[in-house]
Amino acid sequence: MNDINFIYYSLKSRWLNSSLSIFLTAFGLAIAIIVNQFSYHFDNRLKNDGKNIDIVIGAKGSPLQLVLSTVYHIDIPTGNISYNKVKKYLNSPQIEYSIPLALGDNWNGYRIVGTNYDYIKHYKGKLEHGREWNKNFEIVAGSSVKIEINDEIKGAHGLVDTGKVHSDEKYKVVGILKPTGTVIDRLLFTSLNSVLEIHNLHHLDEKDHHEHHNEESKEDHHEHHKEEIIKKDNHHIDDHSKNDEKHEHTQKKATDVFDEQNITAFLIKTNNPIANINLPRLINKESSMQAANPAFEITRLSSMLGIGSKGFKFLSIILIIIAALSVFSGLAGNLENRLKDLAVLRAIGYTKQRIFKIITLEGGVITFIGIIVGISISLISFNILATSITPLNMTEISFTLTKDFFLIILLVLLSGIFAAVFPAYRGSKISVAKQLSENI
Amino acid sequence: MIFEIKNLHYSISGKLILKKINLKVGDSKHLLIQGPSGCGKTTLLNLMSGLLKPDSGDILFKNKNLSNLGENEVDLIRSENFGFIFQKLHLIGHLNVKQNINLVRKKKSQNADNILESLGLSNKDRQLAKYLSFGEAQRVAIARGIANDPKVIFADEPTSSLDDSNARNVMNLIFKQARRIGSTLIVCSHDNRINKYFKSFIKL
Repeated sequence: MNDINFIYYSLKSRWLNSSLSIFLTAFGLAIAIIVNQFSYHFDNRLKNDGKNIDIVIGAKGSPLQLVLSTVYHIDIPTGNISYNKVKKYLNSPQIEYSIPLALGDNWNGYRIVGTNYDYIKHYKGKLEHGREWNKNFEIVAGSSVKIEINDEIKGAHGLVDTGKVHSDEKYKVVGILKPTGTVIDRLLFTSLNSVLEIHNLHHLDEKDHHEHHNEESKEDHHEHHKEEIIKKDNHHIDDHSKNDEKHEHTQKKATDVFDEQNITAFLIKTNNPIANINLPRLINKESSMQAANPAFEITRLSSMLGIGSKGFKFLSIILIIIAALSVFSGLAGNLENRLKDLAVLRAIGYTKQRIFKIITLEGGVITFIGIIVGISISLISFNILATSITPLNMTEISFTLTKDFFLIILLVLLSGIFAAVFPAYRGSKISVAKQLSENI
Repeated sequence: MIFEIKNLHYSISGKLILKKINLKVGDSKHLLIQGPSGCGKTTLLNLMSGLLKPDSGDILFKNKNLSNLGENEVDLIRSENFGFIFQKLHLIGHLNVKQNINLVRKKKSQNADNILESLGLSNKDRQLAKYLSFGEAQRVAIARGIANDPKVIFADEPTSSLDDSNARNVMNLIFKQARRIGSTLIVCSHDNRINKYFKSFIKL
């Protein structure tokens, strides 16, 4: 009989004990892996979605809320700002480029973002099917959005899937983007003017915006905007859910435009790190708007969430230790009942090393099976969580073989084997003659 | 000589159990170690099989001094040359009959099925050892003791708990198997009923 068979029958003979050790190992590992996976995707998303966005200019309020709503699209915007008021800051030579955003509507929970194509280029988005929008009410969808080319949709008020549907205009899907692993995968894009028009706001000249940061030296730029940006509604674009009564529109003269709010935010890429500090300070001091630094806000958020994340990591470590102790107690507790069996093996010629190997391998087999079961549990749980919980199901995250994933497995395997070493050592050192001659 | 013991001394917790033991056992000869309970019979058996190391003196098996060999070398000698029939049988309960026999390192010529057949255990080969009757378990213990075609079979009190009829059957079975494979039989017992089976004795 070879040692593997011997181990198999030995574990089988105490299946309840072995199963308990296996499941404790499996659950410890599964929780550690799931925590690691979500932590990895969370960090990755924070990093990728906020990449190269140095400043966000939006309405006054919580800077974290502004960043979360406009960069990560996971919160409600703080309000709206006047395009013209922000424009003078966009002329700064410290700004490499800026991207306007108009938020306020969603389709089936997917946010409709009024912007220009620079936003998609910023995330290196490329078309998988169809084309870019070239007129109002044409939409390009991110890869995770459950929609097809030529579908016609109506946006709903608000940023969650419960708002009142706009009955006036329909959007037509003209393009689908390739997956990028960033926030744009779960967004719907249209021209800035589509969003403004559906909310009864007069058009912004988007072309002018492009020219604006390409030709920042043009001094008559402000005046040009004065004439072209006309707002006829003081309605806050992203406040529909609570401000439906504001649909009574008030006509405004073009000259009033600087006092109106007509855009949600501007995402800014600066060309030097000093601007990331100075420009927000200037805007916050001089204007009624707010400029937030995403890197700073996300560091603050991470430090807050870090407590929870560390708690889960600590729990995982505790579970892995409990699993190792379970392997230890299973083997060590059972050793007392097996001493005579081991003495027989020694008497018929099994070496101490072979006995040590057999008991260590028993611990190893329990841990190995626990790891297989644990990986399976973590895969199933991860997929259930990722497909059933909003907004995880919108991000289409997938199980990723990270370095930490392999480290956790190695840690669990080593813990299990280490837990088996002491019982194995003790088992190999028994006094054969004494065990075989004992009367009880 | 298969075994030669010279000036063997052994003590447990300072108490001298075996003092100046000298004996020789020839190939295929059988030896009975006699004496009352606690006189050191099992200890001598354990010393001869290399399970214990003597305080002093030499134990030579085929001219190799077991006292001078390393543990692994003694383990190898035991696995290839010795068979054991323990007083309490010591079968491994969660293994079946065949698996208990297959634990020992068998020669290529040996086959568990043949051994079981010769001991009338063919129909019990898949039964777990813990469910065997005492008589069946004793036969399995004998089968395991001879499964590696040992040069020497050590049997510790093989008849101590048996009635006359069963004691006779067991001794006949052990001798039959020892003769079949040409082994030397070394038995320790305080049971005088088995004296008639032996020509060589040592009294402790």
